[in-house]
Amino acid sequence: MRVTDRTVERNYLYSVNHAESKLAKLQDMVTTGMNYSKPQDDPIGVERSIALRHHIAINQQYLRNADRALAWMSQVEQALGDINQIINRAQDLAIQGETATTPDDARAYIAMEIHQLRDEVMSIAQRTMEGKSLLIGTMPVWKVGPGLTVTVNDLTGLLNQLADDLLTLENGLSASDVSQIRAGRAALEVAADAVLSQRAENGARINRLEMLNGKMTSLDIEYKKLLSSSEDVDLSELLVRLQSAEAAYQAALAVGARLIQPTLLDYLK
Amino acid sequence: MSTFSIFEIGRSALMTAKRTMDVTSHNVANASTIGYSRQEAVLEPIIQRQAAVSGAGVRVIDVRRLRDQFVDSVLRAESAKKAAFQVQKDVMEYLQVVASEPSDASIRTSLDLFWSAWHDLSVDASSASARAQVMERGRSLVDLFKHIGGQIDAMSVDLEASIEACVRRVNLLSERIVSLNLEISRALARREPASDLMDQRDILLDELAELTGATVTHIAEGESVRVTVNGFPLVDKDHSYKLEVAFTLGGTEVRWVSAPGEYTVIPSVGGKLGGYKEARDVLVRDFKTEVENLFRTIVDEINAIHRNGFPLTGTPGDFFVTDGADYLHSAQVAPWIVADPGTICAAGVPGDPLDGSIALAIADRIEGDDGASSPTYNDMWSAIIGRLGAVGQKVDSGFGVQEILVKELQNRKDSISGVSIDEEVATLVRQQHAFNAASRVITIADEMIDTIISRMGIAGR
Repeated sequence: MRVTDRTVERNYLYSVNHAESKLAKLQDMVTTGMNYSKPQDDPIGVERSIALRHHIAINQQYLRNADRALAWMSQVEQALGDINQIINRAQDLAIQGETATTPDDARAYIAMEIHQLRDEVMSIAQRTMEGKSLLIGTMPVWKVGPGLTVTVNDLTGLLNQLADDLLTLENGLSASDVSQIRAGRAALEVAADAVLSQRAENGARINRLEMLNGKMTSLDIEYKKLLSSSEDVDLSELLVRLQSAEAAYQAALAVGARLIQPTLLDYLK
Repeated sequence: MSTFSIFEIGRSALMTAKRTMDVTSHNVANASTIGYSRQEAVLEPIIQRQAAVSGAGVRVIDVRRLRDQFVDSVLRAESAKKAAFQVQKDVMEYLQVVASEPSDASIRTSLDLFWSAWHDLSVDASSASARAQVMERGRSLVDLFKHIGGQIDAMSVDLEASIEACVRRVNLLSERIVSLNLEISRALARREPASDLMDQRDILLDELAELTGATVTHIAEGESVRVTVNGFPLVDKDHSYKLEVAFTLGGTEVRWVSAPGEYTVIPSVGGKLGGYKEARDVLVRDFKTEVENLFRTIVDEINAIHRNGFPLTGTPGDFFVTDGADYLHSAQVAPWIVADPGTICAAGVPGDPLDGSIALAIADRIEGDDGASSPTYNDMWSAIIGRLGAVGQKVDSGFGVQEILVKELQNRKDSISGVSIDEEVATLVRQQHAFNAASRVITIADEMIDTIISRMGIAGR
């Protein structure tokens, strides 16, 4: 084939441009630290990136929901503990009031304390969390995973019953009616059981959420690792590639410098 | 046979050497002229019929233009494909910039944030800040879709302008080729050199073919050419036909105008024009349709759930409002929600400010966690990006292949038509030697005659 000056020039420019664009791509990868900067660089990788970034965002929201649920539940646990103490104290007082040797005026003092305890129950019922009622009324539903929701029990019934029981006891004590006091104590027994079962349920929920929380935290790390292994460049490998691309580019330039300069004219005297 | 015939032969050799050196210098002068074809002087001995001598010198009978029409036509076809790929490659790169994946500033990010906001609202339905967050993130989602819609539309407008510019250029080229056809046939009829005119015409033909993917047929040894696109003539010897373009609902129509007011639609054009047409009618439009479908699905599905819920204030209504047709342009978060986020319907039952079940249902629809078999919005978006990447890759590698092919064909063309300085210098040296030798022949003949005239017959003087 006849090789003309234009052929040499064209081939030279093509190889220099080619080496240059390869170099630019590698430089782009080094500076961004990413294996691909647009979908066409690696369509499957980019789809994977989208999926992983999405999973990370979703997981973080679920994690946040679980944290909020946990905070709520530990407040409920606190309130149930307080109620339990009240019931214990009321039971102690009832036993004292039940005793035949207890004088009537002492019973009146006990009745006054029961009244205080009842007020305390009322105030616990009014506790709030983030401006919303903690124990009574509509309870929030937290979504903590795909198809996974948790909520807490509405304690309106339990608290009303407890207040009623304490009222019975108080009235019995005021009237020195031993049988009514006994009935009130028996009712408190039932209330104590109910509170216990609520605490057990709530505790089990907290345990489950904490487990879930741990799982989601490790999932978050796992997803980020996967994303990094898909997206992030292997810097040492990349630098080696960059070096060889640089060498190719310089070789292309050097070859051009030697090929393009001389013509026959340089050798004719 | 006269002694003076040596002078005549020497003169012809000198004249020929000078003329061939003219041709060589012309080649050297045009070594870097685009589209120039190497020329070559064709020599022939002058035959002396009357006398029994070998010949009467040399003469230039033709200055030949070295060109291979086959390589030309293959190169034109491949250049047209390269130009089409180039356009499509640029458009795909732009669309990928518009989609801005992979990054944290894309539709996906905005959707995730929107989803999160519904979640936060679902557990805190009475909170004004949770409501405001849903409203704001809804607005930024809509803004992002509208922004992408706007960029796609701007791209379409640009492409239309490019198509129109292309068509104008094609019409201009056709006219100029016709006038060159006429000039060349006139020059040939007068036996004048037409090589440089033909080069000029070939440059225009190259450009025309690159713009439209047209094929060129030579008539009567290159005296004239016929250029057709998809069978429709643009240039037919001494007559040119105009193209027109119209943008209809069905796509871009390239029309071949047979007579004023009468046209036929050319079904398929190649080259740059074809590339622009494909980019506008397929690449950009497909992307827009897909984005619009996703947006329409989001708006309609969220509205359908939202409508069934109950707000804190006011009456149940939609979350997004549209004109029902052009979602990408008309959609926005309902003005009453922007004015009072209390009108967001988060509750599944009326009158319960703490119920967030509808907010959760909307979140579940976004994430596809509601048991419906339809793909999630994220899946839809991911599919759009995947396709964008695949098409981008296809046109990019197509362009790469075409680039090498065109380069090789250009080298092949240059191996026939290109000027090599080394070769021309060698020719020049050869011609110089021929000139010197011819001069010497004349000098010797002169000396011979001098001998005869001055020195003969002087014996014994």
